[in-house]
Formats: sequence, structure tokens, C-alpha cells
Amino acid sequence: MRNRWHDLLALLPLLVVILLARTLPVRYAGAMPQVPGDDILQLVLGDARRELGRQMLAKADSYYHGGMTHTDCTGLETHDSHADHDGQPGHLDDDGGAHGPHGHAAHAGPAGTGFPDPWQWIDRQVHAQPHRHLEREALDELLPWLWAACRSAPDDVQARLTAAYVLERQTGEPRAAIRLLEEGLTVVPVSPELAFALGELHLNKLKAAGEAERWFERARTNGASRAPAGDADAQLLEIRTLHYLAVLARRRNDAERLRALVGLAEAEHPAHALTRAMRKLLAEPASR
Amino acid sequence: MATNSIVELHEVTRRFGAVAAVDRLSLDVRQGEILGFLGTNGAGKTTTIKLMLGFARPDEGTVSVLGGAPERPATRRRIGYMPETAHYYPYLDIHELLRFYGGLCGLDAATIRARAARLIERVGLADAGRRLLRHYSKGMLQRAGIAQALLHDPDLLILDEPLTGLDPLARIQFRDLLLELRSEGKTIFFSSHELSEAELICDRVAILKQGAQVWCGALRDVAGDGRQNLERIFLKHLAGEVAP
Amino acid sequence: MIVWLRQVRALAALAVLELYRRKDLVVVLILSLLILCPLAFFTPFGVKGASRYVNELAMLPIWIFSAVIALGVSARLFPPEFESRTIFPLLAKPVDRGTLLAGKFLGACAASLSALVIFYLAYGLLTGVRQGLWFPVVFLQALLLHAGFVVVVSALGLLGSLVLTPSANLTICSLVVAGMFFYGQRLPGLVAGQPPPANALLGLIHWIGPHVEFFDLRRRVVHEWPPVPWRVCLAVTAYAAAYAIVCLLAARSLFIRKKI
Repeated sequence: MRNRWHDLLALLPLLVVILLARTLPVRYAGAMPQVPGDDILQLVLGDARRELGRQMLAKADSYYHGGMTHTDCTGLETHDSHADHDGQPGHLDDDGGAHGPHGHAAHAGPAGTGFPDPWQWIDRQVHAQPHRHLEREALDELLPWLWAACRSAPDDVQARLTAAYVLERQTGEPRAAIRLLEEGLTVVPVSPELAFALGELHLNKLKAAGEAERWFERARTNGASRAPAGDADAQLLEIRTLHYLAVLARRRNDAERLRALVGLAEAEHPAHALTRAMRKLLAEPASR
Repeated sequence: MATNSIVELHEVTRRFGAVAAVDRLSLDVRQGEILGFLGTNGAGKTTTIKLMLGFARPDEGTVSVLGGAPERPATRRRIGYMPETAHYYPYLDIHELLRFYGGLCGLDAATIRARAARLIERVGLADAGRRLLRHYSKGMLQRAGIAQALLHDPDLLILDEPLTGLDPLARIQFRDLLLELRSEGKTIFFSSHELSEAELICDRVAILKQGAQVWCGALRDVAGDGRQNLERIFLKHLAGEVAP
Repeated sequence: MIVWLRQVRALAALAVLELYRRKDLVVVLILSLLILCPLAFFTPFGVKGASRYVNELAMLPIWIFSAVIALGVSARLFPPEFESRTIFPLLAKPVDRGTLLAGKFLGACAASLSALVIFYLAYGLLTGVRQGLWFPVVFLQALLLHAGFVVVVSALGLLGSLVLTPSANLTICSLVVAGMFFYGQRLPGLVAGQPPPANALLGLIHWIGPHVEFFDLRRRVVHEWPPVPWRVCLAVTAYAAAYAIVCLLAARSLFIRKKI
């Protein structure tokens, strides 16, 4: 027969724990190791959540490549990120076939010893795959991992940018992507990339020129401290931002503003193609 | 050794390091008899049984069981063994246990079914039904042990401490069972501490002390009041007052 | 021959019965459902349609639990028999030690493979209902090769059960299996990059270690790659059989010499 006192004895420590959990943070608010407002992930993982976020992003990248990672296929060796594909003809519209236009080398495997190795043969047959990309219709397969990346590391800008891109592309609805990016800016308010992406979405998808211009200005302000430091990505982002602002100024027939922007571009990026494009804008007659 | 011996141990020695668990033991078990193998704890009874079953090889001497080496499957097909500690697979019931052991003996399903039903009735486990062995009492496990030992209708039964854990009624039933089996022509070799039980059913008794046989004889040759004489013989030989 | 088959069948049936009576399988099935059900209803960013992550996350516990079951069943083949002394009435029966070993091994394989088939059936039904993909060829190949994995792991567990305690056996086999699973593919590269004697040791591991990564077709299944050529499937299956036979021969040698 169960002794009810035993049940009570088990209940008592539980009540003590609950009481302590409620009172200690209040009593010692200033001395608690956790930062107020930390969520459960931060409490459990701490700084490891950033690494978790990176892993989730890498997982999304592998999903894009049919489950392959850079270490699995030598065809991916020359790619550090998808930015390497930018500008390559036909890449963005790759329907998932073997990556023919780029001529990736067939998987060669590690250097052999000259002695036939049946294990390596089996391994290559079972695992090695040609490089491929996910079909456009299947891009939502990346979303769970991108969601996890954003959730794990809210300050991971790349994760948010990729997630916003895929989200907008798959749903055709830019507002979800905009919300995601705006959320990111509350965590990393100084990110020029997030502001730039918001500007592009407002301009290209919502056709909201005024709002877009506001975001591009913010991107320029956020990036101001990084570009002169010699960060190549930041400099590229700066000239692109200036170009967008110039286009918007041209549309508004704001010649003075346009001249100022061209002046900035010529000062920092005199030889860049976008600077030349901006000069052409300046030379064009005003639209009616 | 008698001409009708079916088990013959000749000058068998088995050592564990410097200690001789069985020391130049010569023993025979005759066709159709019940031989009681008595001795104190650590005398070497279980080791002797292991040698008879081929679980271990003697360091010296020879062991012959049913005319052959005990480790041969053909020999073991004619031996039924009941171990000292009644541990069987706790997640089986008695039917499944007998089906398992019957399969190991190479019996077909119909034979196993028929024999298992008879044996379960015979050893008094019919009421156990589908209860799993982990819920059996010690006495019930001993009965399960004898059932699995008899399943393949062996010629020779080797029982190690078969009466351990049995209540008085169960002991009587067990005694009757052994006597029945003897009348069916089976040969029974059992080790025990129970002198009184040995006196009631054994034809011959062998007493073991520190691995060596100190006395072996037919009970009918023991004069006077059997109970006291066997006890006297047992105590005297263990105390070393009477030469073997 | 008939007698031998009956003996092997009796031993094998015992292992299967033990797995199901111990309810280990029920526990892992419930755990799998608890993990997977919430995932199946998850909609990241409110968007439905992603299914590969569910497939991948379903495959992961299948692999983990199949390894746990195979190792758990095979590691318990002999130690409990010796501890509880049920080995004595077992060896007293007219069955030689080689047959005993074979029967136990087949029982462990049968038990683990039955659990594997249940897992794969559940996975196949899940993907069939969600995605309309009903047991494609690559899925069947994955099941076949996974069965090879189970056979190899069972053989390793059986070999270890004759010389190690269950917990030591489980630990060592788990480390070996996990190590080869994650690093087996990289061994040739490591061999080439290490100085002696490390490269010799790694080379030895590469040649004699159990390459369990050969049996992993998850990527192909989840990401809908084409099936593996059948001659490769045959080669991998032959590898599993050969490795298991080598382990069994070693186990037989140990068991015959083992003092009871």
C-alpha cells in the first residue's frame, strides 16, 4: 500500500524548486548571470547558438546542392558561396540538371596510392554524385533549415537574407520576406545588407519608390563605417546602393541629388561600371 | 567397473590452478540404477557433472558416457540434464521453453507439442498456464527444469541438486517421479546434500570429499538402521576416520 | 540437415521473442513518433510543402535506433546466458557450439531486421501519403543496404559478447560503428596526409574496419537521387556478408575455446 507521506516528500522538493525559480531572479536581479530577456535557446546554448545557426545555414546550402556539401564533391570546390554564381549565365534558371554550363570536374576522389582500393570504389559508387541544384519549384525545401538558422542565430545576416530571398521567391509574397528582414534589423540595426535587401524588395516587388529610397539611405548610412576600411563586399554594396539611389533620384528628376550621388561614386569608385552607369543617368535628359 | 556401466570416469583429475577440484576420481554409473552423488559444498560434485556433460575436459583420466565422448551431440542426445540453479529464460512461458529445448534436440513440432503437454501435466505445472517463467516460484522452476530434461526422452538423467527449493509435498512427488523413471529403464545420476532423500530412492551412493571419492556402495549392503548408518558413513568418511 | 535447421530455428526464434517481449521495439517506435509527429505539422515561415527535412529527420532515428537495437540484441546474446547459467542446459542439449553461435546470430539478425522493416514500412507509408512517392527503387535499395548494416553490426556485437561485458561491448561497438560512419570515407585522405606510423594505423583501420558508411543511402533517398547500380548493391551486400562471416568465424574460434 502506497504511503501518502512518500508522495508528499516527493512533492515538497518540487515546490521548493519552483519557489526558488520564481523568487531568485527577482531577489538577485542584478547579479543573475543571464541577461534579462534572454530566450530559452540563449540560456541553453549561449554563444553556441551562433555555430548552430551556421550549421543550419550550411544544411540549407547542402539541400540546395541535393544533399551534397563541399567536402563531398569536388565539383563544388571552386564555390565558396552562391555569390560565386552571380552573373553566370543560366545559373539562376538551372532546373536541377547536372551543372553542365560550368563544366565541373567529375568527382575524382582523394589521391590514390596506385594500389587498387575496392573500398574507395564502393564509396565513390554509393556516395559520389554530380553537382546539381534544387529545382526552383522545390526551393521551399530550404525553408525549414533557413527558419532554424534564423531562429538559432537571430543576428546572422546571411541567414536572413537567404531566407528572405527563398521566401519571397516561393510564396510570391514579399511582405513575409520584408517582415523577416525588418526583424533582423531590430537585432542588427547597423546591418547595411538587410537595409539594402529591404530597399530592393520595396522597389522591385512593391514598386514603393519612396520607401525603397528610405531603406537605401539607411543602407548607405549603415555601411559608411565599413566601406572605407577596405572591406570589398562593403564597397560593392556601397556602389550598388548609390546606383539605386541615383536611379530613384533620376525618376524624381532630382538632378542636384543625382549629381551629389555621382560625385560620391566618382570619389570612391571611379572606375566601377556602376559609376559609369550613374554618369549616363546624369547625362540623360529629365523625363517628363 | 561393472559391465553394464553407461558412465565411466577413470582416474579423472580436474585442476583449477593449484587446486584439484576433482582428484583421481574413478566412478561408474550402471544401466537402470539411481546413483546418489553426495558431498559437502565444494567437494567437486558440480565439477564432476560438468566433466560428465563435456562442459570441461579432464586434465588427466578419461570420461566415457553412453559409450562415447560426452561433448559429442550424439551422446548428449541421450542425456537429460537439470542444472543446480534453476534459471531459465524469464520472458518465456513453460510451453515456449519446452518448444525451444525441443527444437534444440531436433524434435519436430508435433512431437514437442505432444510430449510437452504430457510432461507439463506430469511435473505438476498444468496450472501455470501461460505465466512467464519470471513469475515462477523456485519449486516451479525446478519442475520446469525436470520437464526440459525429460523432453527428448533421454536414457541418462543427470540432476544437479534437484531437490533444492522443493517443499515437502513436491519432494515426495519428485521422488515418485524418479522411481517411475527408473522403472521405465532410465538411469539417474543425481547430486545432493539430502541424505534422507538419497536413502529413500538411491540404489547406490558415492560420497565425494575434496574431489576424491571416499566411499561408494549399495544401500542394501548398509547394515542396521539405514538412516543412521548412511549418516554415520557420511560423517565418518568426511572426518577421515574410516579409510576409503 | 533437418535437425540442424530445427536447432537454428529454435535459437533464432528465441532472440526474436526476447526483443518483442522486452518491449524495446515499442519504446523506440513511440519515441520516433513523438519526435516526428510535431515535425510533420511544422510550417516554417507559415509555408507548407517542405517535406525533405521530415524525410531526413525520419531517417535519422531509423538509423540510430536500428544500430541501437542491433547492438543491444547482439550484445545480450551470450553474457546473460553465462550470468544466469542458462548456458548449461543449453550446452547440455545435442547442439554443437558452432550451431549455437549460428542460431544466435541469425536470431539477432532476424530480430533486428524485423524492427528495421517496420521502421522502413512506416517511413515508406509516410512519404507515400505526403509526397505520393510509393516505395521507389532507391528506397528499396536503401532498405537492402541498411539490412547489410544490421548484419555487420550484429556480427560485431556477437563477437564482442563473447569477450566483453554487455556495457563494454556496447560502448566499444558504438564507438567503432559511429567512428567509421562519420570518418570512414575520409580515411584514405587521412592516410595520405599523415606521417608514419599514424598513416599505417589509419591504413589498417581503412582496410579492416567495418565500412558501415557503404550502407548509407539516406542522401539518395531524401534528395531523390537515382538508384545505385545494382552491381554496386551486390558488391556492398557481398561485403556485408563477408565481414559478418569473418566475425562469426572469429567468434566460433573464441567460443569453442571458452571455458564454461
